[in-house]
Amino acid sequence: MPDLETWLAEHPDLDPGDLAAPWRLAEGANPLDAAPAPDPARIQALRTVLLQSTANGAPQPSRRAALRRAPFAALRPWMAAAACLVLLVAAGLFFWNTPVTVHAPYGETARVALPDGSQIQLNSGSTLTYARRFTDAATRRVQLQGEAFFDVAKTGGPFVIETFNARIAVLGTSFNVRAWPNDGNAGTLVAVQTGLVEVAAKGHPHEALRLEPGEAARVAATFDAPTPEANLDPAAATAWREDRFVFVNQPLGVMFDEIERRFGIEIKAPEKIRQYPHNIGTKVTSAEKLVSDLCGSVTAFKLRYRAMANGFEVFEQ
Amino acid sequence: MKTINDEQFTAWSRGLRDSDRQAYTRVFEATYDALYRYAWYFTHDEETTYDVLQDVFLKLWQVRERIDPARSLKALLYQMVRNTALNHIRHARRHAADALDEMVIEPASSSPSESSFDVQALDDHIRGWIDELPTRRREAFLLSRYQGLSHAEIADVMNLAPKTVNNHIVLALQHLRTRLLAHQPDLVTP
Repeated sequence: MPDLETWLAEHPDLDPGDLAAPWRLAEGANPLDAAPAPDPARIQALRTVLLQSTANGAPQPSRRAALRRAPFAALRPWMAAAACLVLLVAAGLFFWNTPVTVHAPYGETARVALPDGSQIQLNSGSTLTYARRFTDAATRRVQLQGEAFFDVAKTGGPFVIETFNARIAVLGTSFNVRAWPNDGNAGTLVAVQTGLVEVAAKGHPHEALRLEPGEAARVAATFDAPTPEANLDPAAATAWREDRFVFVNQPLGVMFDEIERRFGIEIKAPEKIRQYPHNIGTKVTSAEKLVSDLCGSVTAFKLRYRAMANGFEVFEQ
Repeated sequence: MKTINDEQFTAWSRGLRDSDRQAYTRVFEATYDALYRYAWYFTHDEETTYDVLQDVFLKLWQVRERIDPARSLKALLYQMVRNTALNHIRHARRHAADALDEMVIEPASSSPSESSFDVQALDDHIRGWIDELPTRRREAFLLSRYQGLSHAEIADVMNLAPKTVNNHIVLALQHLRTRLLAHQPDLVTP
């Protein structure tokens, strides 16, 4: 091992033998072995180009002369035809590059089956975007605004979910992502059911947090590195999938927003009420039942509600 | 590349500074294979990798008179490959800032199989565990373990403090040790 003395000086607590074994065992596991071997003919061509370009007094050859496959000059008589082809290809590319967007309207949830076999359930008001050529890329990539449960198909390649402030990388696994930019408790919350998930803030890609089943983490809206959410009940994170309404120590505003999305209605409430943190766990039957349960379970002050044309108004008596 | 000693590199540095084309050819022949792999680590594309190599070696000749023999030529070459490869990725992707981020979510190149303890399977496991490392830690580990760079050279290439490189390598080895312990304890305990 190189520089062993330096390591030990910096880590007096370490036993050199502890590190020697993994160092030795890693010998045959070079990930760079996956690189294809360089083609001797290409290397020879490259060597020739380099030697020409370094010859004393030789004019600088056009760069990459020997490496480019087809000289573009040969295309000249066919320029017009080529231009047409380029236009056609461009039109095709434009179509192929238009992303696919799936939106679950207020009052509904949506199920999305991606071309790779991954299943996604979108909560009300949520939007999922992905490339039409989704499976072409080495990395499967989707963008999420809102909340969704992901059951990611194992293909060997990574699957990346981007929210407004976080990047979540997974192999094959299932987990819940909640990322409402304008939520009372804004941020991205990831709760893992099976498999391994890596979460990072978009601004801090190198400070990723690795989550195991049952674990959860939040990337705050301040775009800081993710923090573990040790107290999150994994069942609470996916309660929406079973039409249950479970929030632990969340501002009432977060719950009102959720009801608005789930039922496509509007809930008016003063900011003081919206800020009040509360717990609730109940079955989702109707919007009114939820509003009534919420008002009835708050004991710090007396909450009342009344029906409006397109929803409810919650106020303090 | 590991087999070439530092004196040889220093001699080549001097030769390059004196516009010695033979030294230049020797450097190319001695290093292209390792540099090709390192460039490919970023590009994952053969065509781009050849372009990167050509750019780097042309550049090397252009800057030959400014080469400092006191600085590791190996580190200089790796740094040029790294910067050039990342630039190529940036141009290719148009989204400049994403180039490094992309690396974060590198796939596990092989999903470790669960059974048999033969050498091949263990190598696959270890490769999977190396893939679990954070990007920069993995890169530092690759350069140290498989490309034979010293910590000072890695610090130079990756623009890190030597202390940080140290920590990356130690943490990488500790990670592998933890995984090995869970997988097959007798491999790591005397």
